[in-house]
Amino acid sequence: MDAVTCLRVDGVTKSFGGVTAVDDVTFGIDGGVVHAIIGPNGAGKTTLINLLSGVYRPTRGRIVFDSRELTHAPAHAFGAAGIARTFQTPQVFGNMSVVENVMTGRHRLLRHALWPTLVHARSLARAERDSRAHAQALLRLLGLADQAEASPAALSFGAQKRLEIARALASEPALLLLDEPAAGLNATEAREIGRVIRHLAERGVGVVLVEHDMRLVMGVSDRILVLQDGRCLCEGSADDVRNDARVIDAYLGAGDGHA
Amino acid sequence: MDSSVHVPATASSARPALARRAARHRLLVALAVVAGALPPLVGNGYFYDVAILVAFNAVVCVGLNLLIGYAGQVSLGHAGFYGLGGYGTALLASKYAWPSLLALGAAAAAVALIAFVVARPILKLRGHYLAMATLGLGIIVSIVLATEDRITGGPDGMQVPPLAVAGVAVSGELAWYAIAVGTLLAAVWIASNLVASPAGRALRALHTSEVAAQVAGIDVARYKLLAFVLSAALAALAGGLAAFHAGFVTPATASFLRSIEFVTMVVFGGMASTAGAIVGAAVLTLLPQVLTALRDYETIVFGAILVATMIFLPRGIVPALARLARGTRWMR
Ligand SMILES: Nc1ncnc2c1ncn2[C@@H]1O[C@H](COP(=O)(O)OP(=O)(O)OP(=O)(O)O)[C@@H](O)[C@H]1O
Ligand SMILES: [Mg+2]
Repeated sequence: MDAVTCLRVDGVTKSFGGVTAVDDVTFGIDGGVVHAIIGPNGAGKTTLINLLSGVYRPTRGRIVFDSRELTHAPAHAFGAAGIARTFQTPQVFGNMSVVENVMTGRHRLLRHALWPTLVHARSLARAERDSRAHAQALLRLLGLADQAEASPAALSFGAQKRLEIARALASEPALLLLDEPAAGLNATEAREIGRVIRHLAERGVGVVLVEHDMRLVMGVSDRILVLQDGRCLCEGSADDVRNDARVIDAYLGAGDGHA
Repeated sequence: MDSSVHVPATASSARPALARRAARHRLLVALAVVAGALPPLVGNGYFYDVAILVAFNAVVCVGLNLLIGYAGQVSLGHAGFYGLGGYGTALLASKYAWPSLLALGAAAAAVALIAFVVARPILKLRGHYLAMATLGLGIIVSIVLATEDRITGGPDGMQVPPLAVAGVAVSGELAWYAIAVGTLLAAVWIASNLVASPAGRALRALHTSEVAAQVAGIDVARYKLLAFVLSAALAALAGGLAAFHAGFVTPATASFLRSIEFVTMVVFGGMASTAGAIVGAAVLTLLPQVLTALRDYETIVFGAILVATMIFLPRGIVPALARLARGTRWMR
């Protein structure tokens, strides 16, 4: 929760056969900082998120979180260490209710000893009640309280994206990776997401925000990393990046032209 | 976090908490009531024979449903564990003259250990490959049981001494009925507890998306292993009790066809529904008894039921009925 560097990414590269999707990227993310990653389609943003969450193993380079080496750790170790994420295409658990989806996100903070589980020990029952109350509070934060007992299949795309954020927050993460949280949301919903992101940063959570919605990115980000063809085009404070000639040429220029 | 929850929310979350506990015990109570009511109504010898058979099969299905229905990992080899449980119990109780319950417990524990050891490589596989590997495992078990005749008695099987509890031999249909139903109730209690816990959610989560489960910090290999070992142990326990009840074991108890029967019961009753697993076991155990004319075609009938369920009732009969009863409301 202090402003120490919580994640260090050092020369990370990911190749798929001939394609180098992420190429020698180095940066760090501190607690309480919103760090946007922008770039055109196919730039490697999602691949980078997959590396930072342990879904992909880097071809080269290192990933260190809270001075723990995670480079070769399995994905669940990233989650257990306090790195939570959402997916570009929502991956909600369709075989349980909305509130249970969020409770599942809390897994790393819950007890899973075998014996209490099998006999439904009192301590477990109490922890379950707390976890449900916590999940319900998160659903209120994300505007999903009324759908708590619904099936996630009944939710709109935008609501599923918000459910994923609630599920990620349930683990009380130190670092939150968001892959295009505003895609498919209307302007009001996008602003709402921006508000949640700032709220988290104020409470010390580091946030990695992959997003095409430039208004959202410019509104909430402290730092921005621009990816192109898997390479880091530039990285710096939001103001610096906004005024970087290369970025305006490669990315923002085109975007502003359309707007 | 709790203190910030305002009053209406607390009030509205307290009621479902009670409702959820009731839901967890409802099946247990319903089962106990039905099991208690049946003997006075239809308590003839034939009823007891079939009911005991149903209960043993249901114990296997309640465990297998954790693996197939909740975790989404198909096993076509669980009759292997059932057979090993039966033979293990028979060997310990006859050749080594162990007390019945000790033999039963040790056999189930040994089978759990075997499941634990073989699970690591097997559960790395997915879909058809997992099905094939478990199929192979079951076949190996039944071949070993049939050919190692110095230990197992070969194709003819072996005798099992009667079950004795605290030195007293269990005899009579009612006593056996009580043991079978009691074991089923215990299995249901454990399965319901597991399902309603973080581990139960982990199983359902990895069923839908292994990646989403992993990034939530869930060690998917560990939970698949848990469901596999637990289901194997329950199958072995049922197999051991069935061996005592029948007084003998044969390699047929571990056959591939038995494995298919178990899977059909789970799928027909309803995946991810403990009540469904019991209903599936009951219906498909009764069917060949009632329709004796079908007995020669049992395999074909089971295959046809499996296919028809997959096509017309992919959720299985109990979840489909429950859905109908509750309208659009979401349910497990
Ligand atoms: N699993 C994979 N196998 C092979 N190639 C892949 C794989 N994942 C990504 N790629 C390739 O890596 C490159 C980067 O893809 P990625 O999905 O990371 O881009 P992105 O920046 O997230 O794009 P978008 O904005 O469209 O989401 C693309 O060329 C893509 O085809
Ligand atoms: Mg992407």
